[in-house]
Amino acid sequence: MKKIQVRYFALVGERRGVQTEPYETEAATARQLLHEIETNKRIPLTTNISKAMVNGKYVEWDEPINDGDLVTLLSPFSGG
Amino acid sequence: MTADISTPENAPSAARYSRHAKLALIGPAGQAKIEKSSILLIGCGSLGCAQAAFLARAGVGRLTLADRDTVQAPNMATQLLYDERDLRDQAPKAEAAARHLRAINSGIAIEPVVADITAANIEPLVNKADLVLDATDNFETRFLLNDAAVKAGKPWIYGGVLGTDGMVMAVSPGQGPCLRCLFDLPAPEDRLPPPDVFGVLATAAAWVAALQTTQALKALAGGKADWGRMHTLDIWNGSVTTAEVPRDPACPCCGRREFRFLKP
Repeated sequence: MKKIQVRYFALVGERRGVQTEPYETEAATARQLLHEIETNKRIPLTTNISKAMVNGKYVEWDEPINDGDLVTLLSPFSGG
Repeated sequence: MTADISTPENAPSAARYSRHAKLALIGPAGQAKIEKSSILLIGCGSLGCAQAAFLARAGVGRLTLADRDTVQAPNMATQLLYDERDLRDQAPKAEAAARHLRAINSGIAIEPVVADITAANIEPLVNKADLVLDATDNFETRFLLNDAAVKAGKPWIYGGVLGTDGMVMAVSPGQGPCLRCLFDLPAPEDRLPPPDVFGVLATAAAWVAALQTTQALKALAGGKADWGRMHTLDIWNGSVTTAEVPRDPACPCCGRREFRFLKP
């Protein structure tokens, strides 16, 4: 089991602002992590409308996830 | 004896814009470029009101303001240009904004466009601007703007706000990534809630607008904007995260130049 940090921006539900939390996962890639979080936490992110950063760099969804990584999940904001 | 006809409101631009011209980062030459520039703002909501006020006070030579909506009660908390007369009259936002901006600066050209921005009308508006500021309230118009700006080779500044957070990225075709290098498709509205459902803090919108306007002024004054750097803002906690966005050589917009959103 890998211990990582997951950061969210302005998602639905009770979340507000940037939130970073410790997370344990067996996900091998950013894509698997997204699907796992979407299932477990009911966060409405999908790969074609969202983006992942690993340790501060935007990555493709097949990017490997390693122990100790900071993974940021975000979607574009619509409001204006 | 010669009468002194100068009045505070028609003071020479050198005096009026001296605070910006004295900035080493802008200078008199940069200010002169700003005064000869033309900017298109798409949207006159919380982002557009703040952007337009900054730009009018900065002396941008021509502002074109496009918005399809009228002033409504929920707008009053976050859309800084409007007053209760506009609300009572349910004034078209573009026209009300233009009226208030003319009262701020009568020496610049301000053109309101009361219209829905679509594939049918966006290209002439983008083509006659030097730069476009995004103040839209939906993804479809942003992807349309991305297509039109990349096709015309015009820089534009993405900005979005939700809750207490925001995002800003300056796009310069040929010099960095475009919006579709990062986000492939517009998010369906039912997947990510708009501000009328989720709420928006006025100061978050003003912060996003201030950063967008700064990027615009940097570009117009001759300096380089932060092309291709995504700034993610959280005003509640006072934090900014910045990351380089890689250009996607296979991007359907700036790579393959397909411009699917411009097609009816």
